[in-house]
Amino acid sequence: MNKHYIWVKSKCLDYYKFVNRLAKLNLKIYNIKYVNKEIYLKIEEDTLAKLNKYLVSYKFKVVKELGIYNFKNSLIKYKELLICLVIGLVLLFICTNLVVEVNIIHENKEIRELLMDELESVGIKTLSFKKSYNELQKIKENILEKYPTKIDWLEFETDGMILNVKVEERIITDTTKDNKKCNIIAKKEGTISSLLVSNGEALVRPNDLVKKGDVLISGIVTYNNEEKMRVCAKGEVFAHTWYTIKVSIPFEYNEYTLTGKKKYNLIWSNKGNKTRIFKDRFSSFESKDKLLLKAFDYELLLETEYENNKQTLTFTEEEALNEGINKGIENLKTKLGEKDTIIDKKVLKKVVNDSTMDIEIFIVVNELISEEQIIANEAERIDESDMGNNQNNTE
Amino acid sequence: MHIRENLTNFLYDKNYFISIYDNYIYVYNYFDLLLLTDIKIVLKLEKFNLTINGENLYISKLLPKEILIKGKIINIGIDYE
Repeated sequence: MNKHYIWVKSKCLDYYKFVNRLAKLNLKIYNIKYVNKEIYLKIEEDTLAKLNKYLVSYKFKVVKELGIYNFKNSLIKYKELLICLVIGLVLLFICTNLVVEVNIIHENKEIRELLMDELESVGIKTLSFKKSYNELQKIKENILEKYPTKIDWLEFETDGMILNVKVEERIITDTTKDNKKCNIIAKKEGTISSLLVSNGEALVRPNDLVKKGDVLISGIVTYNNEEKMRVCAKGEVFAHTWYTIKVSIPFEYNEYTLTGKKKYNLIWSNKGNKTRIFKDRFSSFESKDKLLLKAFDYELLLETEYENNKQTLTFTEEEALNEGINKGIENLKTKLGEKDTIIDKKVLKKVVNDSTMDIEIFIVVNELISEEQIIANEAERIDESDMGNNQNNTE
Repeated sequence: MHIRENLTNFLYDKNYFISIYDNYIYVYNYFDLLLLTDIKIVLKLEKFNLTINGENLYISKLLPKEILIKGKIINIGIDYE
């Protein structure tokens, strides 16, 4: 076992007197120094007790411990610094190995979601540790093998604590698409208002009444009643269509007015799930949120609550009628396309009850009714040619 | 197993020895320190006393059998009692 050496010191006016006394004690003194009326002795730790026992007039004090004990003392002395250093190293390790954001770079939402699910299943997600280069390559190969028709190319790129995933979608062009032969048919009944033909032969004119399924633009181009060629008809056909909508409107309705009072609250949000930290103090209020802090997927929001008063008001018959018409039109608009327009409306029936009014509205719409349909014979022919190709391949 | 002791016995096979260098003197197997001043040190050995005369003499190492004396050594004398 290592001996525990220490340096001790004591005040000493006469060096020679002290060493004479020391020599009588028959102790092990490994080094003696005498500086500025102070004597320094290098001894074993056990010797200190004897020195204190036999040389009572001298007060010995440990100056320094040597060897492993000195190292141990240094550790104890600088323990705060060492703890900070260890914590710092751990934090540095975490910061250099943690992924705080997985950023999939692609415009297609489906591809992004698909990749995000795949990466999460292999442990690549927010607040996870980084994978090694070899692991990432393996994951990349597995994903490419799993989705050969969807993903063409994939690359991982680490930017600090963010993992960027660059992806290219595989687009398989349908070669049969360009060769298809099709008609434009009516998807609902109506009176043709206008038509724009860019390919094919128009079979209808404005003011013609058409039923659902009627061919509007034919893909079979004829000349002198003789079929010349088959194309995929293209064009837009608008027609006046009719809708009858029933709406029921209550005479009483609620109106909210701001009182001018406002109070603040804090909201903790995790991936869109909001939780109010303090209890609501208004019974009825509107609120606006402002972002205070954001860390990873967590957000702290400041909510301003504006108190409002609820008042119950009553429609007159005329007001209720207008409100009902507007509501009916709004409902219909949700079913119509962007190019469709409402051109006329009329109230067919109005029934006033005790608390409600039932209205039946007739609405005329200028609507795009054209829709593409593969020519029946042509569809069979495409199926047959596909089967033939498959048979050839198997042979 | 007693390699160290055997080696020590082999090297230190004398009853005593005195090594003299320019500015220090090493004495092995002394019995007692009889006198210690800055100009004279007297050591008792088995059969004689060793007197060291010099200037600014001091002891640098003091073990039960060994002593290391430093300082300007002028002369060394042996006094058989």
